[in-house]
Amino acid sequence: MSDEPGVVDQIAAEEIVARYIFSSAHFSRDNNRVKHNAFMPAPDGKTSVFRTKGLEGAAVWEIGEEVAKGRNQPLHARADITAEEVALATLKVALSEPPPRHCNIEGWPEDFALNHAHYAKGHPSKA
Amino acid sequence: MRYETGVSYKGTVRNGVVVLPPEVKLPDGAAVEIIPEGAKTGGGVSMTEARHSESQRALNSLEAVFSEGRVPGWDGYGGRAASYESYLAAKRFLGVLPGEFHVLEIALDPDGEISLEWRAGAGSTFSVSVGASGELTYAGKFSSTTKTHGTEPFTGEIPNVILGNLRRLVV
Repeated sequence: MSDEPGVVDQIAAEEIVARYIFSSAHFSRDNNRVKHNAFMPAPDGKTSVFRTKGLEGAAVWEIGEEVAKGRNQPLHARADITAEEVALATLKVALSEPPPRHCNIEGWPEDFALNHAHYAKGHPSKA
Repeated sequence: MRYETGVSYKGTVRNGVVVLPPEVKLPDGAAVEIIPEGAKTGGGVSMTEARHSESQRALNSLEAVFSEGRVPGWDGYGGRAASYESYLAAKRFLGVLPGEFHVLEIALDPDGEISLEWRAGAGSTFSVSVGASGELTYAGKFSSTTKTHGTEPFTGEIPNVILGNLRRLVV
């Protein structure tokens, strides 16, 4: 359950979640876009994201900086996506605190080929 | 400007849109390549030179992606180190890829495999992940209702089904 005022457990379709990017291989400066690979699930089958509802721009980046510090890796970029766009790829955003505001994109099929098919369905890359 | 094949037209940019002379009739959906006048050097760039440049750019991108991904956890989310076998297979793939299919982007998947991506307009995309053991996993979206995915072996030639899907993007 979220402890923050105004942040309810239910994630609305229009709500934006941020994927923090720690690899320059996951975005393109030339094409000004995030690559779909940035959303591929980790070995645990989940894609870590953070809710940004009610936060100003600087505060959204602060979350990423905190995550970067914990992983000892530089924060390169951020991709924002709505819960609705995730749902279009037949996946879902599920609250997974702590840390505060942390969520996972879940529902990835175990088969890698199908993972790619999911990208083809919704292609959740939005720079 | 020199071309191996095809024709060229001259136009101007107005409000971000390329305006061609009224006598030029191109069908809707026709793919075009724009080379600004100011970008020409030494009398122009031939199609052969442009393709060589694109090929080199793709190889440089592949090297950069592989280099960055050689350490486990390179993506900050526990990603596996880039697979050398996948890198070599991707290099062979690029070596036999027909020149008209320029790879837009090369990236690395969390499982350490190299991924190649092509795009054509909004929402039309095709990607191939090159497996360490020589399999090519592909997926494409050509319209809101036209999608494909599958796996093919890579035996040194681009599988016809992948070439067919790339043609769907460029047509």
